[in-house]
Amino acid sequence: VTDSVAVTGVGVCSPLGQREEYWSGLLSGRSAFTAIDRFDASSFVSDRAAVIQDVDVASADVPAVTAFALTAAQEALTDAAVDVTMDGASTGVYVGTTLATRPSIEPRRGVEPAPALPTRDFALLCRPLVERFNLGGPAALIPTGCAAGNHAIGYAAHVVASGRADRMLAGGAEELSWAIVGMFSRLGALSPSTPRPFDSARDGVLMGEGAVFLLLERASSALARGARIYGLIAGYANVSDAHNMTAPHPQGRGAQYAMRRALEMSAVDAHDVDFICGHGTATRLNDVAEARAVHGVFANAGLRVPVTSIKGAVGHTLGAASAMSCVAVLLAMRDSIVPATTGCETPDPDCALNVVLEPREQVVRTAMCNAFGFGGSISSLILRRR
Amino acid sequence: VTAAVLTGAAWTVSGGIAGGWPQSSILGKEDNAEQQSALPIGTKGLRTLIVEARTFLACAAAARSRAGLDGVTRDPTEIGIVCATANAGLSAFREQLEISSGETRHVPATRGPQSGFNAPAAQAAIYLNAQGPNVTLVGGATAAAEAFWIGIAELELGAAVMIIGAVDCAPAQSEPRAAALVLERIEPRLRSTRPTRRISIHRRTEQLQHADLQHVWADVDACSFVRKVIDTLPGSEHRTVAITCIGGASEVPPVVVEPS
Repeated sequence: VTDSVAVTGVGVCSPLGQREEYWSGLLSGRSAFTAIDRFDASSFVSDRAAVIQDVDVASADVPAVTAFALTAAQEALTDAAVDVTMDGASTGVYVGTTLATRPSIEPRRGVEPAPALPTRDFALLCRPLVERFNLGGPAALIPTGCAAGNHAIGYAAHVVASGRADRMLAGGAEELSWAIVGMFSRLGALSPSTPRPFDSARDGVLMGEGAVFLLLERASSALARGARIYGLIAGYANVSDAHNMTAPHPQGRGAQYAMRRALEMSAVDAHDVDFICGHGTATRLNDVAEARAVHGVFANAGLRVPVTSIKGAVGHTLGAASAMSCVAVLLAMRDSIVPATTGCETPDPDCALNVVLEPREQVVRTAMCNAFGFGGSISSLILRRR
Repeated sequence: VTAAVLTGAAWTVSGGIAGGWPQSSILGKEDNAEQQSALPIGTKGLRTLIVEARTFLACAAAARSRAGLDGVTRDPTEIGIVCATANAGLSAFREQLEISSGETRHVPATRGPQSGFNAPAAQAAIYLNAQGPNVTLVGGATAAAEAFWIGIAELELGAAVMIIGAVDCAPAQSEPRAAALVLERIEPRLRSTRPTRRISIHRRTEQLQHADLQHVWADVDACSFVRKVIDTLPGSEHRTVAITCIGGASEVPPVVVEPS
């Protein structure tokens, strides 16, 4: 991945709204959690989640996750001012996700569950994007859990940098799942109150849903057509913790390696990173492991560099989570303001990070976006302002 | 063009590990049992894995053995895994639904995270200590072809060994099918010490006019595609074989197999 891959379009379908509403929601410290009405969550530790209200899931003719993805992709393409329906042959799409369309077999209020998943259910997420936007380039679902959005963006950047495609839509998409909310509840990872990333009193995460897409293209092409460049994909690393399916390595071994490798690939010194959008799930183990990893890589600068997590605002959107973090980074670069970590009031001294508690005006030149998933899936992305 | 060398492979027949390369003969059930017992995981550990993860892990471990990498000291961060699948984790996902609805109890909480598609690649990384890139792609043959592209890209970016494979458990089948192969960076020493094949992938389809033989597959699953790559042994008549898949929603450049 090189500096030559630019982000020229950003599309968001989130519980806070689309791109600009999402951004103003993050800056104002809004949290989008409401009672889940899509299914019965009364037996779980919490019956609240960050749910998308302005997409009519019940009457959509595609699964909810696909409806979210189409909404976000359309916004990204419009934002980039490219009409791929006329010239989509060399535009592709990589979609990060955890469950793809699996939740469509779950029992839901007001919606008949699918009797069974079709054998090729994966096509129900990727193919509608390809068909709607006439995409002829590489297309793939990358279901690598909570790090999937970063993976999709990182590999899509490589596709563009290598010349395999001229443009790539890349991001993540996820819909709320009864099975997964229940699983987080049983694992003790669901908050009975509200997510407070990096806070002393944090007690878990709440789930969310949404989709994000970025339009990536070569910077030279973007400049030639006069496109606005939000930022450059400077480096990327995908590694495995190779430790445990659920728990992170206590010292953040894989996370440290991912951050170092991404910095190395982007030829950026750790001291030059001026913003980290962390994974910050607000679980006891994850936040400490992430903080240790940051200190392991950044040393003393780990106490200085501002760190934010968006999960107190939009919940954990699984396969879309890291792509949503990337959008926060890109918009922070655009507006020179870093959003606060919604939900965090008293930063945990065990984490010892410079957690952003109020929106902070500052120029963001180089930023890191981290994501860690079940199964030890870890990714780190470096974004740079042009 | 980017290229790597194939140094070992293994695949399932009727659920067990029954085939491998570079040994041409199909192994018997005894060898299968031997492969299973050689896994870096105890009986109790095996029980905690979903069947797709167990099968993919066994295949990946067997491929690593065939590649002569058992006992070879390597930096674990240079070893990665890419797995293509259509439905890994679906049974565990259904299990989670049954627990939530009160139909099932006594399922270990650790099985929950295996309801994702990426459980086989993740478990293989844990038990093979592969701390490098770890990717899962969903789909049929195009996902497998994409897995080759990403695997070779990761070798370009610094990985030394990439285990690439596929696993699937079709609804009508009781046992999953899997195939895995080991790709390594091209290094001169490999040619003199081990049998290898050269695997390459081109940037764009139109650049592949030079291949002596073109195999075009339509609508096959990911395992079949990986097996096709493993089984392709260029002969004197066709030294360069390009394998292309058509189907799904993707254009993937052909995987090209040549003698090393």
